[in-house]
Amino acid sequence: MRCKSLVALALAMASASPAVANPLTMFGAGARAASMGGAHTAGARDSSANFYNPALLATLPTLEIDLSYRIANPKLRLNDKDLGVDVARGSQISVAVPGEVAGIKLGAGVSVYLPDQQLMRIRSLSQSQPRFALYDNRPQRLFLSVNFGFAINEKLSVGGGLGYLTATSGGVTLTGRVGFPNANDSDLVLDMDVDITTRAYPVAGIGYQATPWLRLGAAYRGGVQPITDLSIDIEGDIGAAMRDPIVADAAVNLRSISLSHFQPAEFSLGAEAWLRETFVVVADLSLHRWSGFANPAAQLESALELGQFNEFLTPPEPSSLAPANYHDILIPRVGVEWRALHRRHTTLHTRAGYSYEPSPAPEQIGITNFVDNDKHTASLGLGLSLRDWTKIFLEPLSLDLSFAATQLARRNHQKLSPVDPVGDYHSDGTVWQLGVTSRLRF
Amino acid sequence: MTLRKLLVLSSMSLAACGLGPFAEPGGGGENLPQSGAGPYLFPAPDFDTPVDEPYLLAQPVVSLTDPSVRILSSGDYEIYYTRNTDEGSEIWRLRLESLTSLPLTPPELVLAPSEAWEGTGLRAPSIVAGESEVFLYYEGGDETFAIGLARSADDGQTFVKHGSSPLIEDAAGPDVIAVDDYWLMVHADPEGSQIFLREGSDVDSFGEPRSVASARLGVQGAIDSLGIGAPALRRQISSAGREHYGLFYAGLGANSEGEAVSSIGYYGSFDLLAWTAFLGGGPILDAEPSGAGGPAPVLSGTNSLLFVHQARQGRGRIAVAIGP
Repeated sequence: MRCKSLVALALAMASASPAVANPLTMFGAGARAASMGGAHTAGARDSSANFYNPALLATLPTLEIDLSYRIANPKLRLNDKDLGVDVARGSQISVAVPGEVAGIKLGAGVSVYLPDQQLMRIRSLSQSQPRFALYDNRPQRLFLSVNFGFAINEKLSVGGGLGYLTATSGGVTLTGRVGFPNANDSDLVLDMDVDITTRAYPVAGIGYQATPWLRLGAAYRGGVQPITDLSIDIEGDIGAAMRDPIVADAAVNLRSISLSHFQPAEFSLGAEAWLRETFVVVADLSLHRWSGFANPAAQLESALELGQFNEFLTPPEPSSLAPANYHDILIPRVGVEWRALHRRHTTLHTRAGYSYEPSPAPEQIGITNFVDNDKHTASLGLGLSLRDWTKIFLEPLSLDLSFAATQLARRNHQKLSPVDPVGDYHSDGTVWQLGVTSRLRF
Repeated sequence: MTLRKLLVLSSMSLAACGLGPFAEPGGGGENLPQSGAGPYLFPAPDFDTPVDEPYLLAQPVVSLTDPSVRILSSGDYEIYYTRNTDEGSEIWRLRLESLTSLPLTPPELVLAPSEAWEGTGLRAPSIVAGESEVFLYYEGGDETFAIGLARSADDGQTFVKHGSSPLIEDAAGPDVIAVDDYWLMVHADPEGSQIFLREGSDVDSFGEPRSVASARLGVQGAIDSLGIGAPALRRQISSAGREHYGLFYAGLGANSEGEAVSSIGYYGSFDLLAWTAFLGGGPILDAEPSGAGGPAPVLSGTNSLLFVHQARQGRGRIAVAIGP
């Protein structure tokens, strides 16, 4: 046992798990994972494999339907004052279907997270407006992934899939006559053409049952940067009806290009060690490539063609965006599960976890205020399984509860310029998370 | 209800979670920090209030200028200002419960010229609350300008002039702040070409002046191409633990028609030695077309107010602008 413990500890120190950039990365996929620090790259034993490591889908013994609901209530502060960052809450449905084809064990799965406030929020703020960059838009979006896993042999399984995000592009065009001086003379035709396109990113994983008590895993989730490209164009004549136009072929063009919902590429290594029949330790180490994070503020372009009135109007200069200067981070995660009660019809598991997520953001000393802090997350959970309680469900029915608290360590931001409109400030906060998952097995 | 039934109900009901109409507007924009540098804007008229925004006080015939604001423990605003008439000028004050309500009591005279050096005019009040006294610095004089001091031992009810001589001669537009065990005064020279800083060991004992800002005399387009004055100094300890100083001032420049217009500018410093102009020395308050002067900032970290005077119909009025 001592040897097992040492190996497990070593793996815990050296392992990795997926990083964050979507609601599930931030708050966990399913209550079991959330209560074990999110360390599930090797430890996923339910449909959360869809998110943490699709290779493990091939190892599940039964068809599973997991219904989850989670709520994360951030209390994020600047200068000890709450910014009122939105609560993130939503439902998750995950399905894992095991099977066997030509003697090869395989599994398929799909996972959907549906925020119940909005499917996706795209909000582009001025680069100087302080905001907690990782909690602004990212928890407020739909998550969808489709995955497959294959067992190559008794020990090794591989998997892959696709996750989806959306990008928005398009615009509004008004053509015709802009009434002047009487606006009632306007005769405009509206054309609207907006595409919400899919941006897919790859997901891949490997699972390896090294020994009967030790499983290793590795996972990759691709990075993606959706772009929101919107334009407004007004083209036509300016003047009164039935008269020569005051300005012929006038044009006003506005275009906004912004980045939101950046998801860094994530590489994770993980281990799951059954130190006893009733006690399992899981650990992950994840690399999140935040160095690709670009300034998400809107890049504005405008053009005016108003004939003889051009000299009276000066279109604004295209906005200049400062680099975000985020950097890559390593996130260690660890979790434990102990079977506290095992009866004929009832099994109760208790769980706990911890993760440390260093901030990818530098101290905000310049014009940008993309605030983030180092995060310590402690989690607790319970899992209750019921067997043979009805003839409808022959497999156990499970109910998992999770509770987690993320502490954002206090951080000072001292501005270089004494005339910075925002000035110095410090940031800190707490995020309270609650989740519940019911699992039906068939 | 048995545990088993409870679990079944819980499990089934989860499927319906998240389908409710829970939509909320996006948050995250409350209590945003601001240094107070600006830029500031006058609030738009609000017809639901009895106040003629952005003006807090205007009177017929007389011109009201140079506000200085003291926030009372009750939260009321006590606004000291110069009341200018053809005969001279005096220092008056007005108390407001809020910036969107009319005063419950009429303005009252605080200080009038009485000493020889004061001539017919007292102007540019700067109100400072000490531990047990309230101090009122002001500018006096007709031909030559100097700075005087009045003290109040009854929390500002009545003021008694501090001697019969000016505190500092050949100086104008004082503004004083108390810093722990010392005092800082900024003032302009009577010619309006520079702003000086003096450090004081006591309320009536200030050291030699040090120039901290100069008018950009003759520089076309500069807001202070004709002069600089009415400084207001504010000190804040940032929540990141650093001292910060903001110097508000009124610059006199020329508009495109060549008319003199007063604008508000801002310098910032971490050490009182190196000063940086905000917005390249441009105005921090959009006060077209008549301009604004006599800045009196009230900074709280999340809400910044800038009390000023603005000329309208030939008379100065006390107005307030709000931070970003």
